[in-house]
Parts: sequence; structure tokens; C-alpha cells
Amino acid sequence: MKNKNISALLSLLFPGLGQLYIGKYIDAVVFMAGASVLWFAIFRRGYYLMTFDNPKSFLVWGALGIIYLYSIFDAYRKTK
Amino acid sequence: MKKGISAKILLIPGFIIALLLLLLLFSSLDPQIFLGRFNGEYEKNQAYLLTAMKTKLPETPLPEIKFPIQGYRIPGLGGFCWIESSSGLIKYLEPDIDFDTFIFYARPTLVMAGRNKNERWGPGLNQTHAFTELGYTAFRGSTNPRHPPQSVFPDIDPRNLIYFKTAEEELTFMKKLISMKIIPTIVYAGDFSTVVGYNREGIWIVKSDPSQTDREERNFMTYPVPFEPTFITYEELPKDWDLDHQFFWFEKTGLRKSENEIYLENKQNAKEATQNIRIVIDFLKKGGNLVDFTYEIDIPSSMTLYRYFTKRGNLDLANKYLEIAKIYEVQRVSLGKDSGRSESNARKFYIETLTKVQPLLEKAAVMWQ
Repeated sequence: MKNKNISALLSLLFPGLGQLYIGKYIDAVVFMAGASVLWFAIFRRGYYLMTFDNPKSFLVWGALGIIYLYSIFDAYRKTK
Repeated sequence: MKKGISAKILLIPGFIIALLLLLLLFSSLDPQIFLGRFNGEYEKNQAYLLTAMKTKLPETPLPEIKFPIQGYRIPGLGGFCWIESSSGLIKYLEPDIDFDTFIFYARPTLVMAGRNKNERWGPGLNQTHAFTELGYTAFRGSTNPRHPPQSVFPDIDPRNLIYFKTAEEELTFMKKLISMKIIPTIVYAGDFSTVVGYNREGIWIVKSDPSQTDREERNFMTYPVPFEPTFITYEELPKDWDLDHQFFWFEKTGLRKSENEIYLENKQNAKEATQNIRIVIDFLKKGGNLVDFTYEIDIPSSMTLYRYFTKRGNLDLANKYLEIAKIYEVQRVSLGKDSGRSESNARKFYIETLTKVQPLLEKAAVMWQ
């Protein structure tokens, strides 16, 4: 029996960790890859994506937010 | 069988990853977000500025003003905006300093070998250095309180790196400087550009402009060609005012060194260059990178030295520097338009180029009289 709150917490720490916890390995890889690419882009373009004065910064941060939220929701929902 | 990985195994790495990401994020954030944190820094810098500058700036700048300052474009060469704009500025401020004399003051024979934390690796040509040798004190303003390491601007006293809160505040300050004939330089759309005037709609900047100067018959050997400033509006300015709205200004605070003193310094640097260039090549072979203002290869220095020694009748030495300039040019052309090559390819290119000019620099060094 897995704990729904723990799986959600793990996905909050990093997308995909909650899925690893509940044994959904393919989902975990997809979430982790998506979040990693976006974090990489953020640190790679640094200042440009952190000043929020251009559409790309909203796009990247928005996508990252969606991945986090969906990963949390998905892990919580699928925990049995 | 129990499916999934244990929470005990995942929680600790999870917390570490989240913590690392947060730390990285906060360390990279725009400091303007934490403006309040830097109030002390701001007050300290602004108070220092009042005492450091000899010129008393007006309370309010003139409503509009424009100086007849040009730039000097080296046809066919990219990446020398910093020389092209500053040589025009010094020509206006000190009419006897032409392009070649300015370069002569800017350490054309120096090769730096990272001897201490404040020295870079590679060509030593530097426009700020020329200004300091000509009796000016350099300042740099920025909307970022974290200034680059001293090796980036070795000729600026670290106390003269001044923090401003906003670009608007900087613009007003620059107008006060211009009102007192102290001409600032900004980096606009990647190019060092002197701000030579302003009106109610915008500013005039001397920004390297090949469209005005580059013709088919001109090339790196052509004596730099004057070009006129361009106008940009206040709406356009903030979009391309690069690197935390940095700007530079030079205040005349002392006497210039004589050309004879500079000659002796250049002669000494030429001698040192022969050993330093070997150290630089070794450094590159061990995986080091050249980070300097001298884009790719220093053609302007060699061409200036060629013209300088031709005028003085030392044709053997002049031709040696012409030979070096030609090697640099062949190397530059071999790159094509490949500005996005990898770090290792750039390193190979530098090693190859420096190895080719090394014997010539060694010969030239002993020919200085």
C-alpha cells in the first residue's frame, strides 16, 4: 500500500519521483526528462529567462509549472 | 511483489535535488528582484562617485546636445566595435591622437599570460588602457551590483564600478556627463557605442556601421574609415542596451604619458610577448580558453605597428608586422562565417594561429630599437 501524500510530495520535489515511488517507470522517465530539459534551458539562458520581459520566459516557466502540477496530480491519482 | 521504489530511497535525493535547484535559481536571479537588499551598496557607490569625480555635474542636464564625434571603421573586420568607437571619441577629445596613435597607446604588442588573477590570457590590446595612459580615469556603471571580476576590466579601479538602480537613472546621469563633455559608451546590440548626443526623442550613438564604410576595394589594410553616428529612440534603447545596462565613461584627471614612454613600454611588451605566447599556447593545449575583448585575432595592432614603423623608416620591422597581420587575416578568412564553433575548435584555431605568428613575433621583438 503506497501513501498518496508521499507520492505527491516526491513529485513536488522533482517531477517523476512520485511515479518512481508507485512503480510507473515510463511515466517517471517522461516527467523527469521534460522537467530536466526545461530546467537546463532556464539555467543555460539564465538571465534571459529570469527577467520575465519576453514571451519565451513565460512559455518555459509555464511549461515547467504544468509539468510539476501534472506530475503531482498524476502521482496522487495513480497511487494505490 | 511490491511495485515501485521505497520512499526512504527517493525522499533524500528528492530533497537534495529540490534544494540544489532552488539554490541555483536564487543565485541566478536578477538582483533587481531583491532591490532592497542592495540599498546599502547603492548609497555607498553613489556617495563615492561624488567624491571620485573631479568634474562637478549639473543638477539637470541640458535639454539637448550633440557632439560632432565619429567612429573609425576597419573595413572587412568584425568584432572591433570597441576600438572603432573609442578611437573616434579620443580623436574628438584629443585631436592629435589619431587611430594609429590610439592603438599605440592601447598595448598593441602585449601578450598576456595570466600571470596573476587580474590578467587575462591572450592579446593585450585594450581601449580602456589607452585612455588611462592618456590621462583619463575610467568608470563603469551598471544596474547590477555584482560587478565582473577585475580581470575583465583591469584598468578600472574596482571602486569605480558604480551601481545604479535603474536604466532611467543611468540615462539621466549619462546626460549630465554629456552636458559636461564627458562622453559615455554603452554596449548597444552587442557593439560598444559612444553616446555622442541626445534630444527629446532619443540619443545618437557611434555604433560600428559597415554599411557606411565597407566597399569592395577596402579591406583590413585600409586605414580606418570615419563613419557617422546613428539615432535611436528612447523606446528602442532599453531593448538592446546590453549587459545590465552597463556604460563606461572616462574623465580627464591627469597628464598623458609621452609617446616615447609608450614606445619603451611597447618595446618591453614585445620582448615579453615572445615568452608569453609560448605560455599561452601551452595553456590552450592544456584546455584553457581565451576570454578577451580581442575578437578572434588582433589584426588592428599589427596593422598599426606596420604603419607606425613605415612612417619611422624602419621598413624591416614594419614588414614583419605586415606579415603577421596577413597571417591573421588568412586565419580569419579561413573561419568563414562560422561564429558558432565549439570550444575545442576555437582552441585548435587559436593554437594554430598563435603557433604561426610566434616565430615572427620573436623576430620582431629583437628588431625594436
